[in-house]
Parts: sequence; structure tokens; C-alpha cells
Amino acid sequence: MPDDAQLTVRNLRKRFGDEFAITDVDLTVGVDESVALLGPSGCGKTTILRCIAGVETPDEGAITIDGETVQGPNVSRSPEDRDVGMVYQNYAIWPHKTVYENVVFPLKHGDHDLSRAEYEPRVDSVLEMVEIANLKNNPATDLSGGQQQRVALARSLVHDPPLLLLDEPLSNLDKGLRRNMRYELQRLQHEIGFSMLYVTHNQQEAFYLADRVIVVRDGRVVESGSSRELYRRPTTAFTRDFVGQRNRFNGVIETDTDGQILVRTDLGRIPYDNVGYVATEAKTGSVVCFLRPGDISIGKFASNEADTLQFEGIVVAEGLLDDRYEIRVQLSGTETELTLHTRINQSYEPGDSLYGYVPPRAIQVYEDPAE
Amino acid sequence: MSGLRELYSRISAAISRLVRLWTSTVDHPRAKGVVLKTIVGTVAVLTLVPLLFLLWTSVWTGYPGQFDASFTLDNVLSVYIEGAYNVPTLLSHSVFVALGMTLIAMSLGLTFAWLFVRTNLPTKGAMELVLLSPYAVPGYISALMYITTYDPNNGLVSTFLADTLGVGIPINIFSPLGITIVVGINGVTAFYLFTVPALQNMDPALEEVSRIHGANIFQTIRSISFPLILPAILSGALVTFLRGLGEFSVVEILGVREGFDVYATAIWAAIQQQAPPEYGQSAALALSLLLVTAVLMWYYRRLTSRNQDYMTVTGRGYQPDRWDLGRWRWPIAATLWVVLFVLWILPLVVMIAVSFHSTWLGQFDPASLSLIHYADVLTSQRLQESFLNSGIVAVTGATLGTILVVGIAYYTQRTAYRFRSSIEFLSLTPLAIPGIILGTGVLFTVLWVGRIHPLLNFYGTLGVIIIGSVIVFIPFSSRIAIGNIVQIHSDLEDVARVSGASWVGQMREIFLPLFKNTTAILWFYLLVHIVQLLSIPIMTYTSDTRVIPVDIFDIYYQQANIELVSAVSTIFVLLLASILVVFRLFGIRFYDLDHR
Repeated sequence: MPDDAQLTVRNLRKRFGDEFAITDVDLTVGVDESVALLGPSGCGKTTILRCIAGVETPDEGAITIDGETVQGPNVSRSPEDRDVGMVYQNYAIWPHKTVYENVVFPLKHGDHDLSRAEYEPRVDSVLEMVEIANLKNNPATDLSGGQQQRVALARSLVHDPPLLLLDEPLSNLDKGLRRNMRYELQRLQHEIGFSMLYVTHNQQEAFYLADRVIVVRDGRVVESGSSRELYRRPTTAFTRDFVGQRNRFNGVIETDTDGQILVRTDLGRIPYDNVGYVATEAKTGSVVCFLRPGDISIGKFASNEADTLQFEGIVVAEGLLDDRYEIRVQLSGTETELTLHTRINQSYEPGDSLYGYVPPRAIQVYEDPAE
Repeated sequence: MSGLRELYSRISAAISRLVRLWTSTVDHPRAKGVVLKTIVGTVAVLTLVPLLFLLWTSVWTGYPGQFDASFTLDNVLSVYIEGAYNVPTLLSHSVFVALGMTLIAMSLGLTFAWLFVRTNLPTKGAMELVLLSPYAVPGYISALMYITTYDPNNGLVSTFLADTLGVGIPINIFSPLGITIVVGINGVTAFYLFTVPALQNMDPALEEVSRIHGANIFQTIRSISFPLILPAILSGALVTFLRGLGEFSVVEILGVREGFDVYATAIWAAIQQQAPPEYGQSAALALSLLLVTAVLMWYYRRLTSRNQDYMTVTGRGYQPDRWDLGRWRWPIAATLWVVLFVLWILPLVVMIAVSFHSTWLGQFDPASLSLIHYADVLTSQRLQESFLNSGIVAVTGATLGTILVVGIAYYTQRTAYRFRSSIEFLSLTPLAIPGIILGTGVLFTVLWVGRIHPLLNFYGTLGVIIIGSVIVFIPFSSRIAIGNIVQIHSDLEDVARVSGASWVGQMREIFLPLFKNTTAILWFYLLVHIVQLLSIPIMTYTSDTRVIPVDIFDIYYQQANIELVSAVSTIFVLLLASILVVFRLFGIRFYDLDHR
């Protein structure tokens, strides 16, 4: 992989004052690969991107773009010598230039093989690609958010950079537009083919667009993997918490008299062998468990199915959410609350009691990060 | 009007062509460091070196530039121990003037600001125009205006009161109290401009939510509105107080009759009225005032840096709730018009009237009407030279100052170079140096440096006045520049670099075009202020480098020719006013000239 990597980052460190913004960050982006940096806001992912673009200088670490070292012990190329494209969260459209002038800028200043006469046709074709050819001569200040976003995209692609960096490009758009631009970006990447590193705090965007997702927390890479694998079975409780909407509850590992390992939770005791996925080596101590809201079913009566965990609880909140009915239940006699999703035609009131049924296979067990 | 705009766009096109030409010759990877560090180094030298030479002269047996002398404490001892100057009196006079000025400027400025911004006061637009007009009237001219109007013997109002009512004017403008009032009135406009943005930018929701949760109007003002604008009031008061401590021209023009002296006038007299000049003692005298202003400055810094915590009240322009004054609307408006008339309109009208009298005897005299003084002004070769000098100083100073200040702003806000906060601090230090003392420091500097090598001898050149004037206005203009640079998102510049532009290319294509308006504002701001400045030229001029402020001061001070000086002042005020009108036509408002 590193051999045909478009971007390699090794041991990147950056300190602001006394605090580390990023520590020992390693990552790669392969040719035509789409990689997302996913993490909560303030986790340092934008700083990583800015270091790669060269508008921020890291304290340590090496960065290679398209086979050339742009940052290293004795090298620190200025941003204009790195040949990347970048889309900013606020689009950074120059307000004193027209759409055409914005987009042609990288051709006038950057590295490429086009002659001056080819600039305009090139800009035209890129504008067409992002479907704003009609806005070519508009002043940039007249544009809507979505149009600005397309101009920013066109500008970052016009000089055909080997690597495209995107910093939360969709987060300033409203919901519908965000969904459309998500399709659009994927279509463009498919059509043109470019390597892209995509910073976002929105897991939907990350898993929709990226071939590979890198999870960042407090300036460190927590884990990385293919989108599908990471979504299904992340290796850390942090990622599990952050990715997908799961119920989180505590458990303690115990060994019963037969030598069988069990997890004791407020849902009952569950043999290790029965749970869906265990991402811890621990044989004792506390763990955290995760459960999808959709994997809990409910009813008015206790069930007597053998393999199913069941609990009794009181409804504390309920409401319609997208095309589901969501209920928040407090487990009787405990502090634990669970969220569950059910069919839209159900109806409960806060204070109602109900029974919940959970197949043990749906539970994932992780090491307790607090330990 | 459209002609002006065309002119403006032509000028700016020509300037951008020049910039383009220049930048293409310096486009080099190291250009950024070289350009910025040169500018910032210049600022550091300009703000520090005059102070160093002032300090040196105060502890030196020789005169400035005399190298074969030795260190001594004699100057300090004779000033502070042996009583060559009555330091306690000077200090108490300076503090009296400064305190009075602050109180007057604050009470009037705040009242006007609140009434104009937050109430439905009728005719407030016209009133504001009157209130802002002192932008075109330097302090020494307003002192002259008050002499023509309120001089106890020869002033129009005094003669009128004596003739009709048989009473004298209640306050003598030549007394300490009278002087302080005139100084204070000169501070109202600045104080007004200081507080208006704070009042305008206050989110009305903050007050509404207080009312909704049970506080009445007065409780809301006391516990919400007032605390929110308090930082602006305090920093306005502090800046006014600092100005008052260093006030020279009004005190000297009005105070000379009764021998009322403050620090600034004593220092000026020690150098310009003594032969040989008391260089060492004046420098030693200046040190104690600098100590006081340095402490105030430190407090101002603390205050304004804490202002950042109040940033929630600035930023977006709100349309604050306007309070209904009800049936008090017109009585209040009428009262304010009387105040405006007495303090600003009448004195100006009278001064203009005086300029048309061959001899002024305290009342309008049709028989005495004449254009003789205007003829004198227009035919005087000396005054023509002064007008030319003033023009050169103002244009060159504004240009140099703009370059320096944009450089400071870029260096401190946009780079990761070292000493950024030190540079920001240095750019504010001239605020703590009263104009006369800075003028003294600049004078000493050219005297010293001139002795090093004849090529470095700038004494008696306009260059000295230009450089000194630029230093005076670095603090406020750099505040304007920094305040505006943070409005341009740095991503706009970063994305240009990522797109392949060099630093110079980025500056040319992105930053400078976006900063064009601020640059124009800075240039106009410096032009208007430098051309009015008296303190620096009065300390450093020679017979070849007279400027208009010096002439106005001298014609009154040496010849006591009130009619001629009124004519020069009228022309000067008219010129300043027309410059301001031209700016207005270019779209620059008074508020853009506001400094925070």
C-alpha cells in the first residue's frame, strides 16, 4: 500500500502553546482512494488537514504527497509547492472575484501542463461538471451556499491535483442540499478519479463517501479500517459510541461455578459465548456493552423464550423520529436507560410499563475505556 | 459625484498597477519575511528610539548631539529637588485639566450617544452632524474660536451681555476652569465616537430578556445595559484622560494670559522659549509625566484586553430598541440644540465673522467689513509655503503611516513570526507619550543622529515632522487596521497559497484587494489628523519647515492678530471640511474613522 500511496503521513505532531493538538498521527491515502478523518469537533482533524496542505507547520513528522516529500526533518514546502486542492468548511470563495476568476486562479498560479489558451475551456468543463456553467460570470458574493460549495469544488479540481483535501465541506449546507452534494461528490470522484482526504464530524458523510475511515480523538488516531468493517465491528468503545446510534450500558465480567465466563448487566447475565462480538481480552473487571435500538422488541407481557434476555421498564420519553417510533425506557430498579425503535403505529405514554426482549447476539462487548 | 467615483477608481487602478509592477520584481520566497520584518523593525525603531534619546538627554551634561560630555543626575536633581520647576503645581494643573476634560467629555459624549442611538429624539441626524464637525476643527482653532466669542473683554457674547443686560460672562475662558472647559469640549466628539458602537452593537435581546424576567427599565439599565457598555466607557475615559494630561495648544493659547502652566507647556517653553534651550531639564521633567502615563497605559491595556471578553456585545449590527421619549421629545431636542449652538455653532460663526472684519472690537461692525486678511493670507509667501509644507507632510505621512500600519496588522494577525505581541504592544506605546514629549524625543533624536554623520542630519527637514506625526497616530490607526484585518477570514489567503500562488502573488491577488477599503480609510484618517497636528511640528520646525498649525499658533501667539489668524483658520477649517466631504462622497463615513 505505501508504495502506491498518494499521501503518506508519519508521526505528525503539532503543539499549540502547551497543548498537543495532534500527536503521532500516521495515515495514508491510496491512489483514487477516498479516506475520511472522522472525529468530534476539536479533535485535531482539521489541524492534520492544514498541516498536509502546508498552511500550518507541524512540529514533527513527515508528509509525502504523490511520491514527493513535502514535509520532513529538513523540508517544509510552502503550500503553493504541494500541488493539492482544498475545499474549506466556509468555502473561502474570494468575494472580490467572479466565479470564473475564482476557479481559474489555480491555473494562473499553480503547476500544470495547460497553455494559457486552454484555461477558459478547462474552467468551462469543470464548471459544467459541477453543474454551475451558467454562473460563470456572476460575482461570487451573489451565490447561495450550495453554489459556493460547487465553486469551491471546481476551484480545487481545476488544476487536476493528485490529492483533494476537504474540510467539513458539507456541514454548512442544509439537510437536503447536504444529501445531494453527497451523491454529487461520489459521482465526481467516480467520474474524474482523484484521491481524497475528507475531514468530517458527521458519521453519515464519512461512511457514505469513504472507502476507508480513520477515527480521530484528542489529536490521536484511534483506529482505522474499511468503512464496512469499522461500522460493523469497531475495536474501541470510543468508536462504537461515536459510530452508529447505540445504547451503551455497563457490565461486569464474572466466572460462574462451571468456569463459564459471563457478563453481568442490568439486562441479566449473559454467557460470553452468546454475545455477538467481544472486543476485549479482559477476563475480569468491568466492560461496556452496546446494543442497537432496533434490536430491542417490546410487549405487554413477560416472554418465556429461553435464549432471549428480557427486562421490565418504565417509559420516560417517546416520540416519532424519521419513520420510526422511538421510546426511551428506564429499566425497573436500575439507573440504566435504553432507547429502542419500533413500528410507527405503536403508542405509549410516559409512565407506562412494558417488557423488552433482547437477543444476546445483538450485544457487543468492549473494554471499559475508563479502566 | 460620479466623477469623483471615477477618479477614485482610476487612482485605485493606477495604484494596483504600481503594486503589480512592484510585486513582480520582489516575488521571491523570502519576500514575505524581508518586507514584513523591515516594516515591523521600522515601527520598533520609531516607537522606541525617541524615548531612548529623551532618557539619554535627561542624564547627560551636554546638549543633544554633544558626544564629549558625561552622565549626570544634575538635571533630575535640579528639576525635582532644587525646584527649578514647580513640579507639584505642574502635576496638579495637568491632572486638573485632564480630570475636568474627562468629566465634560464623558457626560456630554455619553448623553449624546445614548440619546442619538437609543431614543427617538427628533432632528438627531442634524445634531450628529454638528457634533461630528469638530473633526475638521483642531483644538488650537477651537481655542481661537472661543476667544472671538467668549473673551471677557472682546468676545461677541461678552460685549452683547454687557450692552444688553449689564452683566459679565459667568466663566472666564482664560481661568483654569475656563481652559479646562474648552479642552473638555474638544474631547466630546472622540468620546461620542467611542461609545456609539458599544451602544449600537448591544443585542437588544439581552435587555428584553431582563424585562421579561421581571426587571423594570431602571433595574435593566443598571444591571444589564450599563455593565455591558462599561468597558467602552472606561477605555474612552482613560484615553481622554491621557489626552488631557498631554494637552498643549489650548492651554498655552488660553493660559498664557494668566500664566497657567501644565507639563506640556512647561516642557515646550523650556526648549522653545529659552536661550539656550534647557534640553536636559525639560527631558528630566518629562520623565515624571511619562511615569504617570505609563501606569495609565498599562491599565488601559488590561482594560482593552479584557474587552475581548465582552465581544458578545459587538460584531453584528443590531437595530436596538428605540426608547420613546414621549412628550419630552421636543423640549429635550430644543435644549440640546441650545447646547450645540453655544458650544460649537456660535463660536465657529463668530470666528468666520471676525475674519471679515479689518478690526474686531467685540461686535459686528458693517463699517469694518473687509477682505484684507484674506488678501494677506493669499499673498503671503510664507503662508503659501506653509500650505505646501502641510500638504507634503500630510500626504507623505499618511502614505508612510498606512504602509507601516498595514504591515503591523498583517505581522501580528497573520504570521507566526516571533515578537508578535511585543509589536502589538509597541504600536500602542505612543498613546502613553504626550505629543509635546514625543516631539521633544524626536527633536533630540535628530539632533543626536545628525551628529553621527552629515548624511544622517535630518534636522530642519520636513522628514522629521513627517516621521514624528506618523508615530503619534500609529496606536489608533493600527487599532483600525487590526480591527479590520480580523474581518477577513484567513482561509481566503490560505486557499490561494494551496492553489499555487506565492505569498507575494497571494498578497497582490487576494489580501490587498480585499483590504483596499481599509487601506483607503487608514490613509484618509492619517491625512486628516496629521495635517491638523501641532505638537510635533511646534517642537521640530525650523524657518524652512513651517506648517499651517505652527503658523496659526504663531500669528496669534506672537502677533496677537486675531483677525488674520481667524482668516487663516477659516481657510484651514474649510479645507479640512472639504476633505471630509470628499471622503464622504467616496463612501467613507465618520464612523469608519472611529478608533477603539
